[in-house]
Amino acid sequence: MRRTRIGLVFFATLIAALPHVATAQYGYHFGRNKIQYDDFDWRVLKTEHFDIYYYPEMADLAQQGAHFAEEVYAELQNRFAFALNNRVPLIFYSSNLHFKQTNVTPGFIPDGVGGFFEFLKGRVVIPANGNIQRFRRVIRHELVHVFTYNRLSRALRDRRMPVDRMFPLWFTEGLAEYWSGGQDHQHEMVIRDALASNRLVPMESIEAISGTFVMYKQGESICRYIAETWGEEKLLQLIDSSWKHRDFRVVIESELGMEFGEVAAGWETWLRARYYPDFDSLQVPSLETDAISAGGFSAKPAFYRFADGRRAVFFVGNRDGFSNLFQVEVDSTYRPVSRARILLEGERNDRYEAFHLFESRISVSRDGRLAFVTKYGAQDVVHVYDIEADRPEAVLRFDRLVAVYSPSWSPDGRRLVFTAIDASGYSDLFTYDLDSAELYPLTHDAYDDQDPAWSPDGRRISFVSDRTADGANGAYNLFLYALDDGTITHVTTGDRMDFAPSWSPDGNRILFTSAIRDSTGTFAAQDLWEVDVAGPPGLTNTLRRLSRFPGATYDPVWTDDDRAVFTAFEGMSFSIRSLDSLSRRVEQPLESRTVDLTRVSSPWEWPRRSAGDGLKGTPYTRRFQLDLAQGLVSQNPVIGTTGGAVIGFSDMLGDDYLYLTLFNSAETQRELLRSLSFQAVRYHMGRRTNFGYGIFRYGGLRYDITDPDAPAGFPRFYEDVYGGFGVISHPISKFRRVELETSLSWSSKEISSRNIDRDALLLSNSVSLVHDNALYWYNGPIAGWRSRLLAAYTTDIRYSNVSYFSLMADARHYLRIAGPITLASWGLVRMNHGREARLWVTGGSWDLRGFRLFSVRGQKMWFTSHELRFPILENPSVAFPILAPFGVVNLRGALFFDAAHAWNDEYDDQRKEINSGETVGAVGYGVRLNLFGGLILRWDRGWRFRDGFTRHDKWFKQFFFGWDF
Amino acid sequence: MGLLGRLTRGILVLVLTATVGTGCQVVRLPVPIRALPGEWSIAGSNAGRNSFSPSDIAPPLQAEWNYGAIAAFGPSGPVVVSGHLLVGNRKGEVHAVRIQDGRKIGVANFRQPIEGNVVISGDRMFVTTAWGPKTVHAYDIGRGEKRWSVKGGPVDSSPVLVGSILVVATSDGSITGYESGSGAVVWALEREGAGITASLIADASGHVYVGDESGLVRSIRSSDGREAWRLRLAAPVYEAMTWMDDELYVPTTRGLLVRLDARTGIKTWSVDLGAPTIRFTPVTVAADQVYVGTTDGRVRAFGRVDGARIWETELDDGVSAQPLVTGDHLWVGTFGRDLVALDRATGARQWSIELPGRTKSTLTVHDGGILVLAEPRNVLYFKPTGKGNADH
Repeated sequence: MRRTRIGLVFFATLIAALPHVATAQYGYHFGRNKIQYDDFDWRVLKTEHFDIYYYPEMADLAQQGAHFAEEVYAELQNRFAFALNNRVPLIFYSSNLHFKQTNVTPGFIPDGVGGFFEFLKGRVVIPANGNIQRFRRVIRHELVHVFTYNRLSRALRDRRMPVDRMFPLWFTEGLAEYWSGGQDHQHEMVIRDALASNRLVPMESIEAISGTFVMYKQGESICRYIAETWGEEKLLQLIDSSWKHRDFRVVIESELGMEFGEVAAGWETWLRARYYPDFDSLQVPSLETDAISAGGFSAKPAFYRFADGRRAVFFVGNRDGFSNLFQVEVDSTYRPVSRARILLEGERNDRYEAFHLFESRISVSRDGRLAFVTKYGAQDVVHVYDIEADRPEAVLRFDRLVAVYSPSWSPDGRRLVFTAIDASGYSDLFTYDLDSAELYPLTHDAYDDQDPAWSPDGRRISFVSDRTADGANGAYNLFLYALDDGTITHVTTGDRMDFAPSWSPDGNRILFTSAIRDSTGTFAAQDLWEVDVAGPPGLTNTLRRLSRFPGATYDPVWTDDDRAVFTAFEGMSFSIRSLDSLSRRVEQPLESRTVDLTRVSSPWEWPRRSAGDGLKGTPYTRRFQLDLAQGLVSQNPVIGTTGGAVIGFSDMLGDDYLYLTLFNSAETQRELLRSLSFQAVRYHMGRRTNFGYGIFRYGGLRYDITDPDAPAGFPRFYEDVYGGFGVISHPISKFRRVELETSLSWSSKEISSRNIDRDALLLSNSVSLVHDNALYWYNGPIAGWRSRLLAAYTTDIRYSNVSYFSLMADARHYLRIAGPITLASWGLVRMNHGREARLWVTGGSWDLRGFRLFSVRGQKMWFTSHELRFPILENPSVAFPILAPFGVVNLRGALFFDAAHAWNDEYDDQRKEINSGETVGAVGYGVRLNLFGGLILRWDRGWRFRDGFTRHDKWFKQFFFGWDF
Repeated sequence: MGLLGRLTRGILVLVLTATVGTGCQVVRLPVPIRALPGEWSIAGSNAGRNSFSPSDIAPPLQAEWNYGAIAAFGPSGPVVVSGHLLVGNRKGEVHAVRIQDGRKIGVANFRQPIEGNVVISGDRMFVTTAWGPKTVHAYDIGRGEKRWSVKGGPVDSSPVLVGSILVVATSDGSITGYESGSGAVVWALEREGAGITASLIADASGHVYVGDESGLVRSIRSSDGREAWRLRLAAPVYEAMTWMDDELYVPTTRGLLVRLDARTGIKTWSVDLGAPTIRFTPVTVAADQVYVGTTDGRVRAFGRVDGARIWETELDDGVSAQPLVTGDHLWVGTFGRDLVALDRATGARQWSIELPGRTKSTLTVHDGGILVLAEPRNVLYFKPTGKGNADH
């Protein structure tokens, strides 16, 4: 994110013809930090069609990935009847935490993103994260994107049409999912639940859920419907016919030979025919079970009975945009006795940066210590929280482990078992002894071992793994690890998705979730199942089904009250629920299945593309490739016509950037050289501390309202500035950073109207401390706070014409009063003091409303703004589909109060032409219309005040666009 | 120079620019127009599209010229008449090129993408387009003017002319016989649900063969549109079928190749690769063998009588263009920008040359040379160097 912003700041600086002399007067930014914690030693493996980028620690995974990529290529060449004429760069990371550091995209990568395809250089970026089958599927998914994009480009270019259109996201992602393999259990979960809860989003309004997981799965389902009804080939025909119309609906109608509405209705009918016959026998979670936490997203429960007999359920959740760790007390029937309280706030500080909501279980020891995982800096750590004392107890960090998931306590509370991934990218089980601080690996192989649970007698650990022959198809089975001899035995076998084992208090049974794939390749719902593991291993095991829900169940916990606490997916939301009478349900199961433990075949092993295939990894060499080449012409009423060009280059990994900018504002031929400006900038982003440097020359006519020498009414003059600059940005954490900037430049200024002709050799240095943990929503921040403290000194080291220091403090706080209602508060103090100190400016619809842009100026200034933001219409196109084509995302209202005071020498020394020396402000209301998620139209109406709000100046109306502060 | 002079000069420059810049916006060939001996006035050699030439064109070849046709091409090849090549492109233009030197003779613009080949009959050229309000056009290439246009529906396939009947199939599944002189509809078959993308072929008895996207293959009498037989295959037909001596070869998109008796529609043999994503190219028939490529980059030869596999050669990239037989050589254009020559008897790779882009269209033979359509907009004419076989 910083890359783009830094780049844009510099572009904006040059294009607006502002030399880099006075530090940070305008356009400073906040933003969180994407930190490159690791210095990867990148290497490149070249296969027939791909350049595989990897680092030595994950060489084995890279070789498997190379095999998968070539395997998929051969298949997609047939499906698309097409070959790629360029080599595809595949950038692999061994874990999600490494993947989050990638500079290929400037954005933050949230948990759950499996990979992405980037159009500019055609790069595909994928993490493995311990699951080889998932890794393989994501490679397939992303390469479908690569083929789709190239085939689309070809279809348009063949007809000499610009490549200026893309498919709707539901089709792009749906096709990629569909051609990545069979429908997985999550697909079934989403579609079943959508049908059962009547929340299926019709094709006509599927844009309303664009980008969501549900959209992926509904898109996949639509592609499957098209393929089964018209043939697989029709999907390719849809791509090939993209030239026919910009509206994909027209393309669909043309290719499928029926009205879009008929296709949409046909899909829903097709779905009902597939799923409705099973619905008669289903239970509804909200009727069959009791809700413990049903608001927002809630998952990964753990149960604890306090010493005084109180019961509590702990879980991770997200109710207001931030993820937190919650505690809710329940009575003997497991009904909440109070509202869930936030035990620990997540995503606002370094220690609890991310809870891995979907991936990591939490565990409570018998003596009341809660173990859970967060991302803390470069890696995951295990936190131990004393529930009885209600305070954090320890943070366990393991140097060799990158990612950690699902800790589980030993019965004595002295050891933990968890899943972890090291730099190799493979997922294994580890135990950790808290007394001796010893980390001990239980497994060490390529299989994905998850969800360990320590048995109550302390002798066994149950876990799930893909270490079976069916694992090659993505199946997970349940296993037992015997701690005395290290043997691993099967509890289940077959093509199933078994997860999240939980021991019964007596240690004789295991409760777990399972989705079973039938002979057609379709998964049943992921329900609660039970298996008896009391005796010695036999030839068979009987599995008993305890629920029959349409959606899915997750992470059950067997409590000492004969109940299960678990996560239910119902109505497109995740809630914590309890199921009573487990013993009775075990005795009278909804279904019993016998698994044959003698049918245990050898586990899978994937081939690799390695040195044996003539491949050799070579060190990565940074080479600049063109990213951007753009001409710019602008018409400015003050400066006149200006023109220029920007050329940007970067390397394959996005670590190194070079921008060249040329700009000219000459009005006559003779001024051509005098008004020539250029800038050459290089940024290094590959390390934790990012830095940039460059040289620039600005020459020509300039309009600068901050120059104290310029006429206040029309501050236009000539200036010739050339020099160099450097910037360093060091992130302290995701939320804080220090920025250092320096520039040295020769300035030659002519202000004819005031007969000023001044030369200076300017040295400017600044240091900033930036904090940002604000939560952004469609129109701007809605929670958290952000700030910037800046100190700078600018001096003329040759003539002493200029010598001033700058101080600034800018803080913005967002108080979420209730749901979508936020009170935003902004306080700002600025000071420039010394010779030729520049003016600070304010005014305009972005800060001090009711005043013209930058019409309030002074060397010192304070400013405050308070705005109550509330919804009027949220996502109206769902209720009124007619609005969908207009892209109306929301309509929000605001009540505001702004005040500012600028001055130079004396606080009350009034200068009307720059509105200084008096406290001015505005009070009013406004509305904000968000179009297409990015264009926000703002309209404000208010009363303008002067003289310390003692004089009502005038009414005003303002229309503008931009995000809320 | 006065104002008037400057104005006059400006107008002249504008007129010249417009003339030179736009070129000849008609196609007008020297009359009389007729197919000379050995010319492929129908894409694929004849109405059966068997893509065979007895000319012994042997590698190595070298490009005589490369003509830029503004836009890319559909799967059908160019046609040749009176020493001129005529090819439609996906920008909606028909380019006429003198094969002798690769010079442009003219361009006729039909404004919508042309996927099928043009059909020539005397001085009449029939063109179909894949989109637009009118999609079936007759053009006088002797006079350089349009004769008639009719609505038709979107056409992705190549039409076929049988006698005076122009048979056109649309991508929404209708089949229509037009009177070629006037464009009047002689007969029309209602769509049966599936679209038609595969080029039409005809036999000597006046039957037209149509395969559609649902796998339905039909034999239709061109004179009145009556159906002689129909057969539904287990896989869609997206590529042109081939007719030869009452044998009908049907390539499908799911690894299935079928030979039918063209008179009865009875299956005589089939080849199933067991790979439902592999697509066959149109089949080339020569002597007692048939040749076919696949999108997985293999070229195979089968016995014409029993479908027995004779040889199989793997190329570097997939193939979707119909192979071409000249004498003892089999020519294949690939996705990987290669033109490859194989030994027809053994499948051994003899020679190859890199092209400017992928080859997706049927190759055409003319005067001892081969015409190749390659992405992004290239028409290349290759002739043997006369230096004997080279193993590149």
